[in-house]
Amino acid sequence: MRRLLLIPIVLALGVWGMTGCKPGLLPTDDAGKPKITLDRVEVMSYFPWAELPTRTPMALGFVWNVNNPSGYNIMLDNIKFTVSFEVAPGKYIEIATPTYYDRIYFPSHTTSQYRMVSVMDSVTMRLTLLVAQAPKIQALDLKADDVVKNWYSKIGDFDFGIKMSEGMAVFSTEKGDVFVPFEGKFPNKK
Amino acid sequence: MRTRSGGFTIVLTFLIIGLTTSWVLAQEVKVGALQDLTGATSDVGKDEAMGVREAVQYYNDTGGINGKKIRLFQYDYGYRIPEAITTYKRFRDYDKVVMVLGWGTGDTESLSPTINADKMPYLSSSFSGYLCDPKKTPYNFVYGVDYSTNARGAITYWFEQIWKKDPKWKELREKGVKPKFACFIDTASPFATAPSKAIKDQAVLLGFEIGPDYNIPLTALDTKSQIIAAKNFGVNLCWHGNTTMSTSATLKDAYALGLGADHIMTHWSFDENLPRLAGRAAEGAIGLMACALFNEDYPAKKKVMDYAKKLNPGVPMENRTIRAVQGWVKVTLAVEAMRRADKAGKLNGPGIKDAFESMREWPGLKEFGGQLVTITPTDHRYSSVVRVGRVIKGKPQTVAEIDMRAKFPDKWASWLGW
Repeated sequence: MRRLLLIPIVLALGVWGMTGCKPGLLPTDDAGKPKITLDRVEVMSYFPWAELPTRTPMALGFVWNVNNPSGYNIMLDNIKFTVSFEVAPGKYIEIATPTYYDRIYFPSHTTSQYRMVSVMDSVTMRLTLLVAQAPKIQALDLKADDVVKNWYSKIGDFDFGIKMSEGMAVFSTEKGDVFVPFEGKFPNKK
Repeated sequence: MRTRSGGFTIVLTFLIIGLTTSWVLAQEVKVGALQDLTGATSDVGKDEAMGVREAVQYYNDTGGINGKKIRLFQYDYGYRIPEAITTYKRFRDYDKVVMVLGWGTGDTESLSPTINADKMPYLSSSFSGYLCDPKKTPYNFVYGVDYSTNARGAITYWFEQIWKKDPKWKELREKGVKPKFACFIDTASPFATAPSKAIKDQAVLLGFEIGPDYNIPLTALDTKSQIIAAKNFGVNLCWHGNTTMSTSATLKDAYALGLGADHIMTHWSFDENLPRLAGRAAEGAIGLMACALFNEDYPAKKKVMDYAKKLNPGVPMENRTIRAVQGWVKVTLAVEAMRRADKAGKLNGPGIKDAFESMREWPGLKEFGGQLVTITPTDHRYSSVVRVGRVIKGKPQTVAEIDMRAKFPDKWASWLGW
């Protein structure tokens, strides 16, 4: 009986030791190498175009493949990336930076799918084109309103490129925090 | 007997593990951050957001809040006040944050009654003078010299160093005319209009003739009609109160139309992108600076660079700006307050407020080019030292520091809350 009581105490001390010294507070870049690749982009919900300044939503789903090749479980702590839409052949404009803080575990030696839904809208897109992205729009001699309307008319067929860049996922693992940069392009035309 | 003991052991094991795990999770300090990545101030907002994220990671890597990890919830609210209010409620009710890193003037001032009722410390990137009077806004804090003091400093610098000394103005000086002053601001924006009253008060104090406000929307790309009107007024000095994008558009039009005036501007207009966007039109422009430029020499430069590469390797270093350093300043001040509060055993709203108000000439921001920080229970203006910059040969650089309290000792107390 006494030996049985010792087991949970030893176990608890072990867990405490492992988690108490959890090196989330230490720089540990080499703790593991998860990989994140884009599977696809989906229109999650389609709203018909309404002329500006009326706000028309655009809800896109970004489905990522999260591969954990390590021998231990990893926990996604936070993830963000920047979405850019193609405005002219090979020219992209940044539209949004979805960021998520849901904690999800990925078992060892698995590839799982993780969907991030980002709700954008025509007024905010226009504002982005007029402020942060204005130099690019001016350089291409385009009108912000026309650009936004064009995206809405073509999104159903993905008739323009969507680029995901500046992606960064932070995973917590038993060996410390792991920073995983990632990017993607859709449609992934060869 | 064996089965009952085994069951008991399993239950006890899970109980202890559960308690241990919850203890570990409790060792987090949750902080909310509102950012503008897509709205009317996104030209300066995105880099600040990256700086905030990078700084939080650095502090987590080096011990967090006395061993507790900071869990940052950072969201884009697109400079929309209703979105900011909704996100704040999520921070308060679900994320249970201990403090908020805020952004704009409109949303910070709109949220002020709520956060003060909630006793939620709120460190904003809006340095509106209104937020610095603890009689009105006890839980609001800023991490730079307030807009009004900064604006007073800019016009004072121009008056003393340019108007009184520069050969460009010799003829007018000798005629004894008053310099003509006008504001180029988004007149519908609480941010752009925040220091208007103060800068005009300072202009009167220095003996300027004040012209009308020219409305420059934050999204302005063409400002020719406003420039023509200002030319008709005969303006000598223009104050630009918007962000970099619309200010650079205004400078370009002023240059193209031969306005001939000098330009002073808020720190949200003055950065590495100003000469990139405005080109020769930005030469000689005078602006305010909350800290060091990204590529300037400052003690913390190496860690700022290292974490920029570590957290945002996809963003070219040449695109990074002073805004990222501002993000570090913001987080560094917040971390210091939380560490002090935690040490005092009061890591909560009132404890963090007390910690902010205990800072006396705290030097922690000097390594980012910030000022010594003094915050008291009666005055939340963090410093009276205005850092002035100027675009010289296409590059922004620091040209002066003015201690406005030392320069106007009889006025300083009365300027609180402007």
